[in-house]
Amino acid sequence: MRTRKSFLYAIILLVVIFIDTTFFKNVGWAGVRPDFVLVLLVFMAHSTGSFKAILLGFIAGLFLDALTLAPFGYFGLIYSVTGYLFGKSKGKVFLDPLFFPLLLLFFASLFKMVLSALLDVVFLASSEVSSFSAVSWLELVMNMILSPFVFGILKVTGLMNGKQREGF
Amino acid sequence: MKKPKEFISSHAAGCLLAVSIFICLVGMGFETKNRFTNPVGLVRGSAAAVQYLFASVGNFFSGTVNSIGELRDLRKDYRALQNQVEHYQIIQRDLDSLRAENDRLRDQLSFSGELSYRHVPARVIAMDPGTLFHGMTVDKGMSSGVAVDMPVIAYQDGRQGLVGKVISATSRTAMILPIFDHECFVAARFSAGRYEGLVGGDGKKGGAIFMRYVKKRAKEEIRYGDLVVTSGLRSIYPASIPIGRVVGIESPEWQPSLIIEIEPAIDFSRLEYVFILKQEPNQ
Repeated sequence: MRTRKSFLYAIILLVVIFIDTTFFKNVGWAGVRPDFVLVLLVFMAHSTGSFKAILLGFIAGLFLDALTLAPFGYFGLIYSVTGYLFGKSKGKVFLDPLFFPLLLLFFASLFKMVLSALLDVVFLASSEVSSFSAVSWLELVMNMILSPFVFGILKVTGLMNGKQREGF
Repeated sequence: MKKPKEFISSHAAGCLLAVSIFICLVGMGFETKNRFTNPVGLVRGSAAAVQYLFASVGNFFSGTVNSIGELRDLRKDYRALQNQVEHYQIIQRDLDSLRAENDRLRDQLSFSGELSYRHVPARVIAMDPGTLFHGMTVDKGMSSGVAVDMPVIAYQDGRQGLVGKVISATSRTAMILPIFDHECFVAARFSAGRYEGLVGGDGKKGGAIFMRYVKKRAKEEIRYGDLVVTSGLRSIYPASIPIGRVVGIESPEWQPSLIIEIEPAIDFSRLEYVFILKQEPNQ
């Protein structure tokens, strides 16, 4: 049953990547749109735990690498590590509908910015593109705004009913 | 001292993470030396069909919704066009005399005629999500004669403008690197003053692009609104393709050259169709 759910998560992530690169290609504000994969992955990691979240992040990331200009492994690494870290929250954090989704996505987006800055320096040797530019901060805000809605949808559809801590 | 099997089973997630990171690092290390080689091309090629399908479905629905509004607009446009036809008849007479004069001037200046190239029209079917990379996928690939490093232009509102260049191609799709990407550089010159420079983006979609290495003595001659075009010098881009217009001039004291801010001729946020130029004259 759990394996089937993880498989469903993987399918959802891949479909979201396709939709993100096609339907939503011209959607956004000031050329920026939220990182749908990151938002979904954080909640999926919280639901499945670190082990499966690494696999989900790895598959989704490599798929995104293949479809975009990113070097192969760039998003694979970012999403694998993100899945591992946020999978640790399984059973330890009680997710309320608003505050913790915002907080999780704030830290996840910040972590993505730090890790992508590190990878840019090591692999792309890029000084012109800053992972901490205004657009990255705008993306962080968008991810946070999106998080309660995505969390709500996952809850309502029964896709996120993993073991959670019953309050503090 | 734990045995390897026990260690792996007790640290399964950590081991999996280590393997994932290793694969990604090897992949990045490999690709940053030799970009767009096989593993990526393989996945990209097979995913292209699905991307194509998604884009087609999206266009079908948006087309149906838009057509209702378009019918209303068409009636309004029809009346406006009738008025314009009368106006154009007057312009046509003036145009004939101007064309004759232009032909005479062209002969005098020994112009070799306008350059024109064979081209492949293509539709943009996907764009990179996120803010760090800006690739655009189009629905024409190697089977249509598209190859890496071919220049890409577009027409918007009746005006031509440079879009970028082809950076990779599969049999049915190609990926375009737009001029606002920080890795795209174009040899350029001012249409009026003929001063040369190098145009490059700063990676911000919809933002300005910058022309660098322009001699400081050009400052007196450059004006806001001046057109910047491709120079064609030792470049994959043919000469005289409009890139954009000057919207800012900066002359830092610590640099021997000017930095010119340019508004691209193309609005990338509403780019739908492009033309991929082949470096062969049109038959």
